[in-house]
Amino acid sequence: MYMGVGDRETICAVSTPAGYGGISVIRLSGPSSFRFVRKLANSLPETPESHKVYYAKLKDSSGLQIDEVLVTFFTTGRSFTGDEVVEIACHGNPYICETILTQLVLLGAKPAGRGEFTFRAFMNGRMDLVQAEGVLSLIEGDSLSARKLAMRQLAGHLSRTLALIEDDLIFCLAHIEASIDFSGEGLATLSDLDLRSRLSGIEGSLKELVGTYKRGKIIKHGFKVALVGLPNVGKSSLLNMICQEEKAIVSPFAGTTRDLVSNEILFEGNKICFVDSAGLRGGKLDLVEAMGIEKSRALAQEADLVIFIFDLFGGLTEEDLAEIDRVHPYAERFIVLGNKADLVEDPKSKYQDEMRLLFKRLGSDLGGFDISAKDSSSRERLLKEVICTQIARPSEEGAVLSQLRHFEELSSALRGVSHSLTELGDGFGPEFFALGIREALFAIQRVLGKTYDDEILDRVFKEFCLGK
Amino acid sequence: MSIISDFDVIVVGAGHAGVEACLATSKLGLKTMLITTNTDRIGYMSCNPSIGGLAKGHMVREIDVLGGIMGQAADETCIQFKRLNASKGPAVRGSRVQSDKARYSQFVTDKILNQNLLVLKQAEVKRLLLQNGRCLGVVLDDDSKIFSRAVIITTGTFMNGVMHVGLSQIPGGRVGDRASVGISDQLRELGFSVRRLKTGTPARLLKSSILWEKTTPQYGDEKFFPFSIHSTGQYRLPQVACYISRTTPETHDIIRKNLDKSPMYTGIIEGIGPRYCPSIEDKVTRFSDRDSHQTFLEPEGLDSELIYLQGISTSLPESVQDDFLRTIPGLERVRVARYGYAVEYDFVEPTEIRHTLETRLVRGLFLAGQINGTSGYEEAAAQGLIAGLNAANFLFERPELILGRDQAYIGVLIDDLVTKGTREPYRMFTSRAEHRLVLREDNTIDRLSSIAEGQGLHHGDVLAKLSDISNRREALRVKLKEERINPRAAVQSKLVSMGSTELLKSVSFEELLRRPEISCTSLADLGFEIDLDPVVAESIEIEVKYSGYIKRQMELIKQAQQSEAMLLPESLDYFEVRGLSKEEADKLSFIRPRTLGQAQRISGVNPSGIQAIMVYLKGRFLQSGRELEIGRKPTKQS
Repeated sequence: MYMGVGDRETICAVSTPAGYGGISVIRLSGPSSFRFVRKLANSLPETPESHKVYYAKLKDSSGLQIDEVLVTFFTTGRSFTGDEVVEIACHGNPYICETILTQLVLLGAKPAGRGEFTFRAFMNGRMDLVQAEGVLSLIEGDSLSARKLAMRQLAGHLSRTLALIEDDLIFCLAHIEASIDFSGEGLATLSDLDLRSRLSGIEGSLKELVGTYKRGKIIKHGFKVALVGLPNVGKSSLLNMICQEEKAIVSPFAGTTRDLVSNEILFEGNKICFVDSAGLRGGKLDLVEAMGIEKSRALAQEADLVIFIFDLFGGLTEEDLAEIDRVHPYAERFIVLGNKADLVEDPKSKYQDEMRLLFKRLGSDLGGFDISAKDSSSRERLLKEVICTQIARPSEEGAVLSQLRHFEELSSALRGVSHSLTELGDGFGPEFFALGIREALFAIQRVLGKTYDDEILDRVFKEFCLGK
Repeated sequence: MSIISDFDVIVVGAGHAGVEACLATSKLGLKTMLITTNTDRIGYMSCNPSIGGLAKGHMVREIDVLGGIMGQAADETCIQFKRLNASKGPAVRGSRVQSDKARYSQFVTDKILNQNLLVLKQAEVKRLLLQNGRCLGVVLDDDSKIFSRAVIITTGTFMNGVMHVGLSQIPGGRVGDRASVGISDQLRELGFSVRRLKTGTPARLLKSSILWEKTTPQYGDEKFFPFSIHSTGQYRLPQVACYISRTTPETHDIIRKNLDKSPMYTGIIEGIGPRYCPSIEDKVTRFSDRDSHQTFLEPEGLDSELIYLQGISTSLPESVQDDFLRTIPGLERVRVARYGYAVEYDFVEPTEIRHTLETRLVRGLFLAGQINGTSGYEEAAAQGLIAGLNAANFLFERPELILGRDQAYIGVLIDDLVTKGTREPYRMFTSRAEHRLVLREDNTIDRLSSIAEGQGLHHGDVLAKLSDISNRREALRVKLKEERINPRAAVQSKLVSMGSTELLKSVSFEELLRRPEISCTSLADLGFEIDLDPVVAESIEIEVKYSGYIKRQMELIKQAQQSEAMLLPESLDYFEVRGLSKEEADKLSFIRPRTLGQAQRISGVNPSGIQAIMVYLKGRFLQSGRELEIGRKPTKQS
């Protein structure tokens, strides 16, 4: 791994997903990339042209042919990483890939560490921090939409949007500073009115960006669904049915699930994360269970969707209603499922009766339906109708925030701009509203990696696992 | 061979930097020689007749509190005073005086002549005497040698100065004074990077030839806020007006038609001029959509026949100047006493000096003023003072004086120069100071008086005055915090009558003063016993009212300083850092920034370069497993 001292190493790795396929691509980056590959294929020219594809037969040191491949050469400064890069397209066979890699390593190439190509690209100024973070998300992204989002970040959507805001802020600052330092020279600086409208525009863009974080977070970390309800209404059974595996311990005794149990599934390209909580109960409890209930409440708060489950056979009890009262205000989205439909004769109408009762009490309509944890056909219905409709589709255009770091910085940028607007309205001097704009500018530059502190550095090191 | 020093310090040049430097060293007990080519031009205002302005006024107050002379000279010779940005917040208000040029120079000359241990000599310095990387004196034009233990060069625009009027050139740094040749060549030979800058000055007009009724008078402020702690609030001289007129489309036509006779537009001048003070040729060309530019007609003094034409600096030929000036209302029959001209001169890349203003290459050699690429009397004086104090600190083997960016505009000035260098004549602006809300005119004493005491330029009585002000301010701060006001009926009705709102509960007077509509005077009306002397009350009121903003500014700076706090090891080999271009490694190796923040401000070092350094250091740290000098806060600058 790169330590910054002495000769630079050449790294190599298979860049396509593992397994059998049409082709696999092996990528090398570093000063000896082409030299190493040429040792395996002496038909290649001594001085290749950049961005040109060469046909070659790769042979090992004993002269045994490994594969027929296509070799693409990228010269220093004109490649993904900024280094000299060679890409070998071989047949998509893990054995062939393995053999080629082994030969390259024998010649002196080093297997690339996680994110090391990206790291080199970042270090060589081929991408900014936001883009690099995009690549890392891509590597980690385990759902289709997460990968799409990361691709957009890599393509520079967010960087571009932020660069525009940065530019706008600098423009405003330039005018404000000119009005201070050259006040006597009759300059045509922006009027307070113009400034206000520009700042309002920036405020709007920032609000919109900050608003996408929720969506971005859902895409990146999954849509978080909390299953809550009184003990023994079948939350764990439901979780197992949805996830199609036995994860939660199920028993006929109330209070079996004491800690949070979670499971993730992929459904139609979306990552959905289910969390089963300790059954909520207000009465006297032993301490462990009390702590579990505490966690349940916190969970309801942070979940994207809270599903309250009750026993349809027994109907909504006073205890159920009391619990709904307690949890409902904390939840962003809230639906109610009537479980154990298999035990009820006409579950649909029973459910509707119960919901009317609930409507009377809450004065608002909560979505949901009857379900049976024993009937796996209701799984599809639950996922499609209830959950996927709740996951807002990100627009194909525009930037979306997915990293907490970005969200926090842009929130602070937004606060700065809002401050400035208030002070502008209150007739404060320009040196005061300049402050908020500077705060905003600084926050945005931090996101873009234009200013540096240990926090970003630490992140770089953590993400790129350097220094091993 | 032992060398006997004739003097402790030699100061070369008697402009605004030179006079501050030589007064500082001689006051501190060092035998000092001031050498100038023209003893009639000591502390002379070669260009505009004013001192101060935005950010510059701040510096004049800082110079004054630290023990310099500029503030007193400006106050004593003030013929018009204005507080700029009076309608804006207190941090960006700036005082400016227009001075009587002759009286200003006379005031400064008298101080020089009456100063113990200070010898004035008229001569031209040809070379520096050097031995073992140390400066040991100078050689004069008659080949005589004068030895000293330190040398401060403040030659302004005189190093290889060339004046341009039209297409003709005359060697010299100012009309009537010859250039000084030799030093910059020697500096170049020593390995200093010496480059060219350009500046310009407008025509001086004869007062009697102006049709004043066609211009608009502009008067100064009635209330005088003197720069100096030595001054009273009274004007010493009669106050005069300035007059405003404007260029016309005809003016612009004439200038455009004659650009082929301008040394700037024909490529004769290679030096870079200041963007913030463009010549009229520049203004007309760059802002071609404007058909008029404002100009101020400023008297150069009470007894002077000369009028300075602010905003119209030019290097066009004399006949063209005559032609275009006469298209300006009021100047139809004008007679020009001295035509405008441009000056090109040598300056030393300021990244070659340290924060003390001593050069990196030669010990005991200090540079101050325009030679470091700055522009302006105030910028020059500030550096002269710091160079003088640090030359003394160097000779007395005392700690260096380095003002922080959060302590003074002077700190910002010097840090900018030595870390960023400059491409154009550097002028101070309030926007250069990230600590702007703290660096106010009103709190100069709070910021600098203890430093001033340590440097020792003030007599005991001045120190007593400074500490009296500090003590009274501190007393008021404490009193405002401690004393509380209760929501009694009388208080409530009084508050309402003041345009404020009733109290909800008992609050401290400090909290009450934070309300925008409440002033120190209103506190007095509410029965709070208060020192209403503006020196005390005004400053504390500002401090209290803006404390919230100052806190936010501090937060912003703290964030920015996280990178500032990252110390770079002295031994760092930038050529080992992967990801740095050769140019970046060269620059960094030469400047040797102390912190990552400083490295970041070096022009030509790209963001990716900074990241490369961080990664390199962190990588080394991880590799060696021991604590590098990363993340440790730099020790407080003293």
